Amino acid sequence: MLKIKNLHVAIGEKEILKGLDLHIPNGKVHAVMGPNGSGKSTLSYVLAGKAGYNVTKGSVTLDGKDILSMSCNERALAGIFLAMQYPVEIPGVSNLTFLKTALNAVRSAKGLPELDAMQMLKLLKTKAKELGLSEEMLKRAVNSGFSGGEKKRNEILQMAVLEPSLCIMDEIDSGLDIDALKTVADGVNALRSENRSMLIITHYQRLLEYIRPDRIHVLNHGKIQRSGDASLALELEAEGYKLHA
Amino acid sequence: MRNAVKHILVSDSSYNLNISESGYTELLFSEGVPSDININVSITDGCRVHLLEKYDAECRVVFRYNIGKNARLVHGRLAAAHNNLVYDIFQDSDSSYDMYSLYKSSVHDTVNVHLSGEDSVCNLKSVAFLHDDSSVIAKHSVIHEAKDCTSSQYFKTVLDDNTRCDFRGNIIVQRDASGTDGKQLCKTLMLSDDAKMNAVPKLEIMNDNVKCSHGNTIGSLDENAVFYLCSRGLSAYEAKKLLIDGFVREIIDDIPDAEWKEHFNV
Repeated sequence: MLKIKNLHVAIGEKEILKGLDLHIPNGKVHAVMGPNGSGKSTLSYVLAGKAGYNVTKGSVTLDGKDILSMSCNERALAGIFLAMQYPVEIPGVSNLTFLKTALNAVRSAKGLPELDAMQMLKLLKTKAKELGLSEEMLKRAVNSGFSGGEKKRNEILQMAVLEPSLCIMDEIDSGLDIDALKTVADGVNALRSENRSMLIITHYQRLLEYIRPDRIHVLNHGKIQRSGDASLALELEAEGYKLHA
Repeated sequence: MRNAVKHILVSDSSYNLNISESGYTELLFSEGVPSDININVSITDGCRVHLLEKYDAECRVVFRYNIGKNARLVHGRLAAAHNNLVYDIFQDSDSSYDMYSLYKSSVHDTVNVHLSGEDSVCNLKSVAFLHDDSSVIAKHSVIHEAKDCTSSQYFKTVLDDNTRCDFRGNIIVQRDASGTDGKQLCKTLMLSDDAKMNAVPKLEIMNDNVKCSHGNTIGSLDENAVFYLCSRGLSAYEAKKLLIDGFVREIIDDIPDAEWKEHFNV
């Protein structure tokens, strides 16, 4: 259960989020839609703990734990995962080494034993295959030279492997063709579960045809302006965001 | 390559080594080593040799390597003590020479590779990991004396604390060396505001029919990459370690000897 109360966030002197409230119960998928510059990416970064975003007021808890006092990696270990709009390319670090290090960090935080190299490889191969990622891509450097679609699928692969309790997806549909969009959406849908909540950030209704949200929120001027069920997306698609400007 | 293994614990001030069969040689510079040493190494035509120099003690060594026709030398250097090293390396035609150097403490290193025979190839790859107040001066020159030779210099440095590194890379193409292909690249990762890097690339070209390039980058750790790794559960320390390892990985992966690779790991 994610609870955001009256969240105010500034970058430097500029206030971006101005009193945002959002509750996502376990097992639910919520979507946040909004025009460019409305604060969507700021919301995702501030939840993940990126430096440079100053929380000036408000609180955020995940399953009752205050996450704002945690460092970025403590939040990941507490179950927060952010699938990024622009996954970072890391030359020289193999996807395999990275996933192995991350999974063992998450497992030991959960009190689970670390996986050995063979168990890890087997798990990663299975998950990668489900997402249409080749074994060769596991050996390549993290996101280096990956196409837009491969980068997004690699994000979902990490999510599938790390099994977070809160999945935040920041415009995972950007730059995807129809087939890749379907693969990514299938990957996300496979992860829907009773004890996992999801926050999907997007501009477009199209993604939400593939991942049906339980609830949709319209973010503009740093606040949730309106909330509704899945049909709100269709209305926004037809009318645009001008009603919420 | 571990047939014909030879370990030499350097204890005299002068050596003449004639290597006339393919194999592996290790030169160890440990405690008790003379402070000034001269070593001549000759590799017979056609031999394939792996040679490792390992420094655990302070010393000054002047080397002369002769690499015969169609011979191949893979040369590892692990400098972890205060060393002053001077090399003149002569390559005969069709020879190939790969040097992998690791600097972990203050070293003054002068390397002159003479591509004296046609169609010879040399690749100098170096990694410097420096801490505290270590300082490295590396003057690497490749002198193209004959036609159709290929050379590359790749120098990667990770500087922390109060360290300092000077890299003077030089490609000299002499008048008769047409068909030369020479490359030089220096990349530096700065982990501290107090560290200093001085990279001076130099090309002296006296022939028109050549292909030469040089490049140089100096930067710090990519904060977005650190955030990306931390957001997957890695501590800031683990994330930085992985990124530093990634920075030098392309050189380490290229090392043909598995045991040498271990020494180069972060």
